[in-house]
Amino acid sequence: MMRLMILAAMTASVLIGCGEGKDPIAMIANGGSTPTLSFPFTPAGLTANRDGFLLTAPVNGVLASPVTGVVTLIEAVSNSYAITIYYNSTYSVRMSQLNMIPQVRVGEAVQAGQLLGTVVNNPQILFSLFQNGASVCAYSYLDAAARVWVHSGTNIPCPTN
Amino acid sequence: MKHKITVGWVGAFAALCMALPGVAQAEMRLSSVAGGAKVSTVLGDNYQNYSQPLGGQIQFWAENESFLGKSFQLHGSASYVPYGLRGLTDYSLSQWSFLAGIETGRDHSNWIKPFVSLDIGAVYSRLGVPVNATNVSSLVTNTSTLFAAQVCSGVDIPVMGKLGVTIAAPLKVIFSTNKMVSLDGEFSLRWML
Repeated sequence: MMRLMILAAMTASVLIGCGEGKDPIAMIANGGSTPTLSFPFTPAGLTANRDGFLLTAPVNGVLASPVTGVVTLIEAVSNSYAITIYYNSTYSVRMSQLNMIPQVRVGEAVQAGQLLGTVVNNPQILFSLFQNGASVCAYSYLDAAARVWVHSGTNIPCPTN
Repeated sequence: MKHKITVGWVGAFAALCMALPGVAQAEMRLSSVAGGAKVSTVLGDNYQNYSQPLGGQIQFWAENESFLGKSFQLHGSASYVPYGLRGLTDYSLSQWSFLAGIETGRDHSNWIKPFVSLDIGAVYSRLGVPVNATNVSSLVTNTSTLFAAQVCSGVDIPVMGKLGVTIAAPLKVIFSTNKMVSLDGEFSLRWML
């Protein structure tokens, strides 16, 4: 009995700290906070869309994660790709109309600013923020730099639903 | 930081393991076993992230009077809790806990016996990603095994003969970068050997 317990304790000691990928508890860490979004690249243009912002990407623009979270979906949608990043139980970010496959995998933890891939031929990326499954205006959640960028051009109101 | 905590506790654990062989093994006796169900609630900032799932657990108790005296017992448990992630249908965080420690109070003379235990051990966590979540990329597996500590209080009620029920509320801390604190409600059937 005692030997069994000692064996179990030593096995547990050896295993502690082991793991594959990232610690799941640390991945699901945003709790009830609201996200602060950055643009995935410095846009060449921006127009409001019912479901988010249409961001014109620069030629060979580097696509970065706008938020820290977990990649929960990468899908092919009519000759383009879409990536969904889970922020917390309330908010998710989706970028669609990508002309490349994101260089991350489903289930992977991503940091804000992490490279997701490179888009070519300056496509228009649909950048959407979902709150409890419904798209909401992302402007209110943009970080200071992104807001300054928006205001340097045309004041763009939030799209009406 | 996580590794410093882990290494420190592993060292303490190893020291305990080296000390234990000195205990007279012949006096160690398995005193009772139990199995039951638990409902787990994650506290703090993580409350919004996880569901409150139903899990299961098995426990055992062992006596060794020369080592622990009459009032204390060795206590060990293994439990499984599948947390759902709010806002992510079909995703889950499965946790297997393996804890051991000491417990006191079950030798109380009252019919309802309050007890308290302190356990340490390891928790294996696995983030379950549904296979149909993607159609153009493979999946990443995320697992971890982390140090955990648990303090548990509850009552033990003899029912009939060697059978009793145990109702307890363990508070468990998993020492991740983002500490996970959970408060469970447990109901177990206990069989004294």
